[in-house]
This record gives sequence, C-alpha cells and structure tokens, in this order.
Amino acid sequence: MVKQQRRYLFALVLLSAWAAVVLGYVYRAGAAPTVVLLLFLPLGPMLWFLWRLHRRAMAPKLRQIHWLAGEVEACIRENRRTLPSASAPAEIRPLIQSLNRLLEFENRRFEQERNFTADASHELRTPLAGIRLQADLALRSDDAGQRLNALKNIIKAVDRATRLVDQLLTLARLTDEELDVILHPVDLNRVCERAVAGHYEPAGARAIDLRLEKPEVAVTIDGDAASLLIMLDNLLRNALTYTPEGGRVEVRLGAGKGVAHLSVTDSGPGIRADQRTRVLKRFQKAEGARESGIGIGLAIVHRIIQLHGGDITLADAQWGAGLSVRIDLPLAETAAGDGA
Amino acid sequence: MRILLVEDDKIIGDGIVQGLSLEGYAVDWVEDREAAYTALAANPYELLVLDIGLPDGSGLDILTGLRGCHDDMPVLILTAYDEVSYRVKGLDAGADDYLVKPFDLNELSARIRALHRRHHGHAEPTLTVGNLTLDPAAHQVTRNGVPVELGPREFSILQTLMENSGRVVSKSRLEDSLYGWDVDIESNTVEVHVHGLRKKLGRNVIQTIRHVGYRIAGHG
Repeated sequence: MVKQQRRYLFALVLLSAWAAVVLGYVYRAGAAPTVVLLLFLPLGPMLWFLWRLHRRAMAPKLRQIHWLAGEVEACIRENRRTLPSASAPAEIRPLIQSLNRLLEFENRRFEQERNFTADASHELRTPLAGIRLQADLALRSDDAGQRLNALKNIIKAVDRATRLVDQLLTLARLTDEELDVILHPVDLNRVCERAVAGHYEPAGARAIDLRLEKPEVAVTIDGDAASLLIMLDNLLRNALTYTPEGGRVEVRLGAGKGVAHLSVTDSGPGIRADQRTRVLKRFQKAEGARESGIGIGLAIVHRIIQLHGGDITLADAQWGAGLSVRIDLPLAETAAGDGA
Repeated sequence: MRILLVEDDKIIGDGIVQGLSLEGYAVDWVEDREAAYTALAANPYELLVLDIGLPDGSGLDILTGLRGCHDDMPVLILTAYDEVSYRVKGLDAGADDYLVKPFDLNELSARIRALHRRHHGHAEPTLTVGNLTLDPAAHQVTRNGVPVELGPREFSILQTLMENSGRVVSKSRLEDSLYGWDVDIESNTVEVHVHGLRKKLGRNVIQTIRHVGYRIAGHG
C-alpha cells in the first residue's frame, strides 16, 4: 500500500513540476491555444492521479470505519455487550478497546440502577405485607379492639414504608457518580449538637442514655453540612433502634493529626466481626429484612463519607456489648495547620 | 394445630398470629434464629412458617438444620424475594412451600391446610370417619350430612382424632395441638371438650382408653 502511495506521490510531484514549467512558459510567451492544450494535458491526469492517491489512502480507513459502524449497529441490534477486537484491523483496535471500556462503564451504571430498583421494591414488600395482613385482620375481626389495633399497625407500617422511600431516594441521589458535592468549611461540633438534639426525645421515651462527648474547640472539615447531618441522623437512628430499653448511646467527637474522629456507639447486639464488610456494602442480598434496614442507613453513611474523603470502620463498643461506628474525616486545611 | 412462626417484622408477625389464631391454630411466634432453635427444641410443632430474612442470619439455616436431623415437619417459607433462583434455593433446601410477601391471609391458610393434609397422608381435602365428615377449609362438620355446630377447640380436637383415625391420641398431644405457650391450660380442658363433642355427636363417637388417650370410633 505505502509503496504505491509513494509512486503516486512521485508522479504527482513530476506532473506539478511540468505544470509549473508550462505555466512559466505561458507567462513569458503569451501564446494562447496550444499553450492551453499543453497546460491542461498534464493537469487532467494530475487531477486523476490526485484523486486515485486520495482514494487509495483513504479507502482502507473508510472501510474500517464502515466496518466498525456495522459492528456497533450489530451490538445495538443484538444487545451485545462488547465489540469484537480480535478480528479488527490493527489500526482501529485501540479505538475498539476504548469503545469497549465505555460500553462497560455504561453497562455497570445500568446494572447498578437496575439492582437498586430491584432492591428497593424488595425492601418495600415488607411494610406492604404488614399493611395487607393488618387490613385483612381488620376486615375479618368482630372484635372492635382488635380492629383498632390493626388500624394502628397499618399507620405504623405506612410510616415505616415512607421512611424507607425517603432513605432510598437519598441513597439514589447520593449514588449518582456525577454528583458534585460542594464542600465548604463545616464545624462538626455544631453538626453533632444538632444531630443529637433531634434524638433526645426518642431516646428518652425508651430510657436510653444518649450522650455527646465533644471538645470545646471547633472541629472544622471541608464538607457539606446537610449531608453530614443526614449521616449522623442515620447512625443515631440505627443506634437507637438496636439499643434495648435502658441502654446507652454515645456520640464522641475528637480531632488529632489532621483528622477528625467521630464515633457513634450503642449497647445493642452489635454486628459480628465476619458480617462487618458485608454490612458496609450496599444491599447484600439473601440476608435480612432487618439487616437491609441497617444496610440502607449504613450505605447512605458510607457514601457520604466517601464523598468527604473519609473512612469508616465498625468495631465492638468500648464497653463490651454493642456496635461502635467510627468515622475519620480529614480536617480542613487551615484547621489542620493549627494542629488541634 | 400448633404452628411455629419465625418472623422478625413485628407488624407482619402480629398479623399472622392474629389471623391464624382466628382460624383456630395455636401459633407461637419468635423473631430470630436463636429463639427459633430454642422453641423447636422445647415444643412439638406440626408446621413451621419461616421468614428467610432474619436479623441473625438466614432462615434457611433453620430449615437445613431440621432436614439434617431428618425432621420432616412441613415448612412454609415467607420471603420478600420473588426471584426464581431464591425459590429454587428454598425448595431445594427442604421447604415444602413458598409464599412471597405481600400475601393474602387466605392463601396462607389454604397452603397451611394443604401442607397439613399431605403430611398426614390425605389427598382429599375433607376427612371422613364413619358418618362424620370434617371440612377443614370450611370449618364444618357434618353428621350423616347434617351440619353440626362445634366450638373452635372442639373442632380442633375432632380434627386431630379423625386425622389419626384408628390410633389412640394421648391427652397431652391434644393439649399441645390446642395451645401455644402463653396460654394457661387447665388440667381438665380436654375432657371438657370431649364431653361437649359427645353431647353433640353421640356418646360412642369418641372412645376413652384409660391412661392412654382418646380414639375416634368407626372405620368406614
């Protein structure tokens, strides 16, 4: 291929030279008809050679592009997931590989969304089942007290389902990989106060000792106050749900070596060491209505921590039985400089 | 029939317990795996309604445990996951039936009845001994074609006796089938109900075998 192109190029150069000479002669001589003939004689073939050269150079490329277009069409038609790279000409293989990576990325996102929708609908089946059963009871019972109880349970189940939907929406919003959270300096001290304040009442209702241990000084990180509040809210809710009556929940905030340390500890059943990694991943299938309840809350927490560039670990409570959720978040640049 | 329900959601559990109790079943309800093992070890159950998603692990473990000990208690699985792969997994682990949440209470009772029938080797839905016919679904007893009004406990005792027609059923077994653990049984409750049955169906319908138990009379 290349050799032939060189030949054509050479012929082109020769013919151009000829045209230049003739033009020069024409200019000097001023003679018209024969000269015009002489001029156009090489011009014709020159153009033809140009055309052929172009075609020969472009033809393989065009063929490859057409071939690739055909493969992409086939991909769409037959719902294939990758383009074949083995049978492709060497020149476009890198292009195919890039396209395949793009396809993989799209597939992953699509899979994620599909899984999310499937998981969400499974989660909602539990409160729906509860509502149906209680309504059925209310219909078939002759006992006014039993009917009243059934209706109350229906309200409880609807509230649970509503909360579940809210959490799912939060998680969906957070999972969007293109999410750009705007970070600005946030005092974790204030965030913790607000979060805990919202839970004193439900804690008190079950005689749970809820405490906040925090330093006197501000603990500033670069973050989004709203989502940090959601994070703490979820952690506290989980802690209070699983702590028995008369138990304790402690929120502890500290800072050191450029890192803010936040922990929420309860006196509930805790999470077994071998289950901890699973719990942190979103929606582990097969196990549990209640476990998925923790799952969504912790998945939200995990995602918010990710967005803030932090770390989360699960550990045993310092007082023995219970779960301690420990979060590390990098302190804001200026605050880190002070070395709290 | 005494049933063990293993379900961690409080509203669903309450709904099932109340619903099945209205139908005359004695239901014991536990909310996690540990409690389920304890209950199974301590009490005789005729059927297990098992939720898969439990807080301390998968309900399937309970099932495999039962089958591993060659316990052939009928087991009906409840779950929120309706994918075929999960159903296959549950059935292959030894479950006899599978219901996806949310479900209809009527369907739950009907499937429980069906499992109970199969377990006792009856194909027909109704029981017939002598001139008595008992229909568990319709909760009706007829004698020579004439319907007889029975209280729920009388019905339950009669059903147990008819299911074991030809065999003696001990008093304690009758008690077990009537009551869950949170109900106090008076020592003569079974006698009272048997007496009631005799009044309504005839003196010779139920035979007393001293120190052993009761047996329904008439084969064919």
